[in-house]
Amino acid sequence: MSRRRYHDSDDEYDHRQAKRFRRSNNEPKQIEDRLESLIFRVGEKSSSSLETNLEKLAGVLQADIPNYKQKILDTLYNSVTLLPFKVSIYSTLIGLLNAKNYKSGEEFVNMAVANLEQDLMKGQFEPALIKVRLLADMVNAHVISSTPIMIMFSSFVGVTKEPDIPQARSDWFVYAVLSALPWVGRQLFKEKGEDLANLMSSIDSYIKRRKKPYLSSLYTWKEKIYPPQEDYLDCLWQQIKDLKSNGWKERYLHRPYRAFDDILVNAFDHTFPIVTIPHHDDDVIYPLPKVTFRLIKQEAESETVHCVERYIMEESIRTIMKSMYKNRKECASRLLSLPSRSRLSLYDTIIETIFSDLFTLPKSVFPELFTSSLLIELCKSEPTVVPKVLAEATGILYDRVDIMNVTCVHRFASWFSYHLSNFQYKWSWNDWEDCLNQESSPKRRFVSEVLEKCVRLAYFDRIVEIITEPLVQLLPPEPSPKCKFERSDAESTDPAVNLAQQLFTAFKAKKSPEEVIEVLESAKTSLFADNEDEYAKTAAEVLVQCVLSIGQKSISHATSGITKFKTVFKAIIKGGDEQIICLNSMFSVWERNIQILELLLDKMLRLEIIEPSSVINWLLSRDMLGSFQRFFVWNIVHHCLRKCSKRLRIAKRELQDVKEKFSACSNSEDTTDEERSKLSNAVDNLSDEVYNAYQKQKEVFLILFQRFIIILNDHLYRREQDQSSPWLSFALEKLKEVMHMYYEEVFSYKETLEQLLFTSETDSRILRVFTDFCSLRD
Amino acid sequence: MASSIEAAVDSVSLSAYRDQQFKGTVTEQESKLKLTCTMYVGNLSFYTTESQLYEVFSKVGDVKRIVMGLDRFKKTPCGFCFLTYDTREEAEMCMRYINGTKIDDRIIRTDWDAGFIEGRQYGRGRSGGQVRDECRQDFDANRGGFGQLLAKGGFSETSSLHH
Repeated sequence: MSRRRYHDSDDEYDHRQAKRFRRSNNEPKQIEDRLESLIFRVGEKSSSSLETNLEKLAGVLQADIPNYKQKILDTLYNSVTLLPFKVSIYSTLIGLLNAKNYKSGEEFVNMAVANLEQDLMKGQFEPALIKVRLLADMVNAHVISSTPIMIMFSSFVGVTKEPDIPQARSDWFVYAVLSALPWVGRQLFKEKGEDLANLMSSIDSYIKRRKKPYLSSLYTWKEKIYPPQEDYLDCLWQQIKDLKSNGWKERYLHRPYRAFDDILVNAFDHTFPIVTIPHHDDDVIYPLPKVTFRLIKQEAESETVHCVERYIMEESIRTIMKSMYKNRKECASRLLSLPSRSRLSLYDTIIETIFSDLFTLPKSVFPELFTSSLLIELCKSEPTVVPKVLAEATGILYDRVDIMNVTCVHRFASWFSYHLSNFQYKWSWNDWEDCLNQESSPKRRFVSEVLEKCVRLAYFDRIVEIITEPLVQLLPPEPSPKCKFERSDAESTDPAVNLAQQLFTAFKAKKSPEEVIEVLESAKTSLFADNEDEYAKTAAEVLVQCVLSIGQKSISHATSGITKFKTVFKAIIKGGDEQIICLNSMFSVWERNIQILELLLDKMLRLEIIEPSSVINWLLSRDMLGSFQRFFVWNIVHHCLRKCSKRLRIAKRELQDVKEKFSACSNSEDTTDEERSKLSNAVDNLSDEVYNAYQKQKEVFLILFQRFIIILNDHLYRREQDQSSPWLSFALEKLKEVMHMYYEEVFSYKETLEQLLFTSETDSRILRVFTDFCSLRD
Repeated sequence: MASSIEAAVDSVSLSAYRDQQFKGTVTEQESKLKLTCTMYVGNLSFYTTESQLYEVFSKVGDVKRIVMGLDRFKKTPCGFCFLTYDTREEAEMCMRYINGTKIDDRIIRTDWDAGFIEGRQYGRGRSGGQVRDECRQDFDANRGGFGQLLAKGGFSETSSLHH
């Protein structure tokens, strides 16, 4: 019956297609696809009301349950986990289904609970939160009774009483309960008032006894500001208290089940056995703590900081971003269609939340370019509002650059320059001229960095044209190479110049790499009288200079030159010393075009002509101290560190693949012994590769921290009196940044670092950075 | 999972375009496209440099190589390039977050490519540039002004090739 009603009605679901579907084909596969699409799309833009659509869809599902039960339940479950921002829509749908078909409701609940337990076992905490919220919301739709939810919440809060566990563990369980309360608090208050009061007082005493040594390392702002930066759990706790003081009523969520109360109230609700909470295991990584981020002054700020609607709104925005971050257009349009029915402005809150996630320490929540492209998309979708809000937020960020964490300043500069590149570099540049009055201030450094990045994204003349005249002084010099040797026919007695001419001639004659090596070898005797040391140094410099000189026309020219003479480089640049000479020569040629320097360095690293550890040694050497505060140094440092991590990650993945293949063929009778031994060899080789990659990575980190300590000690020794120099705070923040950005790697060397580098003899200011960092996981 | 769900949560997918000069079967081509780390980048300004491309595309990962598309006769950039990332994940990020954004004020288009082969860097149009610049009827200062055929005062058969 109900299916006919669905077909005959004039509904939102593509009418013609539905007719065709009935007429021609009743193939199970097609019905399944149809059901899937209907379930997935419910609650999307439609000409009729959500309630009408839900009612119709429930009718269709009820009719199809006898034949397609598993498919329907699976699809419902997939939809709600993939699109968790529609949780109340799906709990209503499940409620309607349960009202007619008790069994399917029960099965759905069991499926959700089983999956929650699995997430907890596997330490997948983000997806687990979604399931906790789903279970809680199903109480509202009379699918689940309040009793098992209350029991689950109490057992979650019970985790706070476990002895010897990291705080991060108990924090997560408390957070899971608090974050579900906006959905189910009212129902629990009505039905389990006393239990809820007990739960709240247990949480209260836990919140009071928590320790927060990590806070200062997570702050975006280094000084106190208003509204303050708070620990995320403290803030949520205040917001839930606000909810409680309003009789557990909130004014943001749309709750479609309310319209069906007369049907749902008669449904049989289910209970489920207590959710198994796995014991603490040191291998499980719990989510790191966070701090709140407030930027835009909302109306009546003092009232809204701790109002529960703020949490729900931010949480709705985050839920959409987390589930839609792979599709920026969908994500933007869903964000913009969120309701703004409270005292908070939707646009302000969206922009603030996006920035909050961008500036999260130690790592941004999303890839930088997701954030950038989402903001571009939002500006394009609402061109009259979003650009204005975004410009206002940017203005506030700029005003606070002096007190901003250095890592966040880089993220800010990187995002902003890229954003501008998509909007013709239009900005009220004169607002930023004030940075010129402050020599070597963070603001000035920030504006220089933005301009340099803009030049790299466009070209020098364009940026000169667009910015205001006074700012031009911050631009890097017009990028051009500076080669030490030029081709000439003049005779020279300087062996280096002479060697350079010989190389140029060889290149011009299109000599092969082997022949070039011969030229160099014979010069060792003829020009350097077999003085190995002198020869090694000069040859390294001259070779690099000459190859870069003939390749100065474009990146392609330079990289193909390096690639062509790879064997020559490897023959000449043998050890760490020659690598440093090579790096210094590259720098002297391309000092005025750091971008090309970075690209060529990458090429050298890829060809393994130089090692990441040499690059780190070079960048943090006394020779390069003059550039210590320039962002390119840190770009390259991070590039090297990322490269090491990537190499290890790829090797691990390959090993995993081969291991799986090996175990698959060990169990199969079709494989020959030869194939088996081939795979077993591959496993051995890859195991070695993983081990080597790990050792190399560790070495790079150790060298980096060692260089840091040397440079810092030098500085402290020289400037005993001046303890609060801007240089020192910059360097310490950079040290912190490296630890933060690679916290997983650094944690894994924690013990080695404690023994070798961060010992009791280390200066307390340096040591403090390390101990603060370690407290993130205590 | 239904493709509608996949498409909504992830914008990475194969486009309808297939290189007509691919040597191999359609299935081979598709399976290559699903694994490739190489991208075709189109609608570039003739004046956009390699450095600019590195700057933008390195934002989602390590670019192994860029091959600039060149006019077959003049050997000057003609508005496209091939670009290879180290890993598929990086290339997917490029499809998700860079495709459809701007470089030098032009909305660029990225697409999967089965892998660069020597020779493909040259424009396939009659005049040496890309085919799309042969038959274009508007004036586009950053892509050599009017379409080549219009500039020469005549139209002949058009093709849907874009490389």
